[in-house]
Amino acid sequence: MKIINIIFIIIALAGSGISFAAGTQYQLRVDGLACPFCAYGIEKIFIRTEGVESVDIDLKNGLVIVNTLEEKKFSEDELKTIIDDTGFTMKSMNAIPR
Amino acid sequence: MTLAVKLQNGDDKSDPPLGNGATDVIAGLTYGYESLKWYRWASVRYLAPGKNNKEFRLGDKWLVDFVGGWRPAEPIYRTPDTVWLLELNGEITDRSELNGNNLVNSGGTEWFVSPGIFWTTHNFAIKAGIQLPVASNLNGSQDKSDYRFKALFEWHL
Repeated sequence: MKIINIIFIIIALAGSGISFAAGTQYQLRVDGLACPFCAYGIEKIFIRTEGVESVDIDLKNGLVIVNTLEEKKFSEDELKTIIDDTGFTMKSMNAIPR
Repeated sequence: MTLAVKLQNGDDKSDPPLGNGATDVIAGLTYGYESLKWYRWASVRYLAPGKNNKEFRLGDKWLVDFVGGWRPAEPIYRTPDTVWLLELNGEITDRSELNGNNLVNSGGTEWFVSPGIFWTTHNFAIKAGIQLPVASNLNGSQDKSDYRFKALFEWHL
């Protein structure tokens, strides 16, 4: 019975897409995110950065969401500089382990 | 990256002779505001054309623009987005000069109303608009401006 339970849990976890080797999710609050076409510059620069897995932009809430691989860490200053280089201003950030 | 190519752009046989070799200077101020729903911009520019190699000089020109924009649906990243635009464009032009003399049939004031669209999807954009003349006070005997159409495609790689 115990073995069956363990097999069931393994199958359930595999199906849920949960990964044990996850990195960090950076949620960046950015000023002036109104136009999706203009925000593309942010995605472009992050997606070309080594260690970045995916980027999404929530225009309504003014958030840039950057998911990194386990080994990749950003400092707040690094993120500010990247956002600044794209012509926007980062106001704050949250780093959440995934 | 910007690439500029200068071509022969003046017809020396026209009257007045348009010639070549003029260097123009433009300066201006602009104001802009964008939100998820509304856009507004205003700008004023001053164009000072130079004299060409036939001693012909176009008149100085003030360009005034007021723009309002409306996005009917909330923008969602990576999905098509539309902003409707309505502009008021003014052009106030001094008389042109040939050999230091003013040309009577040149310069004046024109105003245009310009509906337009800014349509984008992810990294591709189309900007298009039509300028419709609504008021004209041109010096001397000149044809009024016809409508003008402009479309711009942008693809960010």
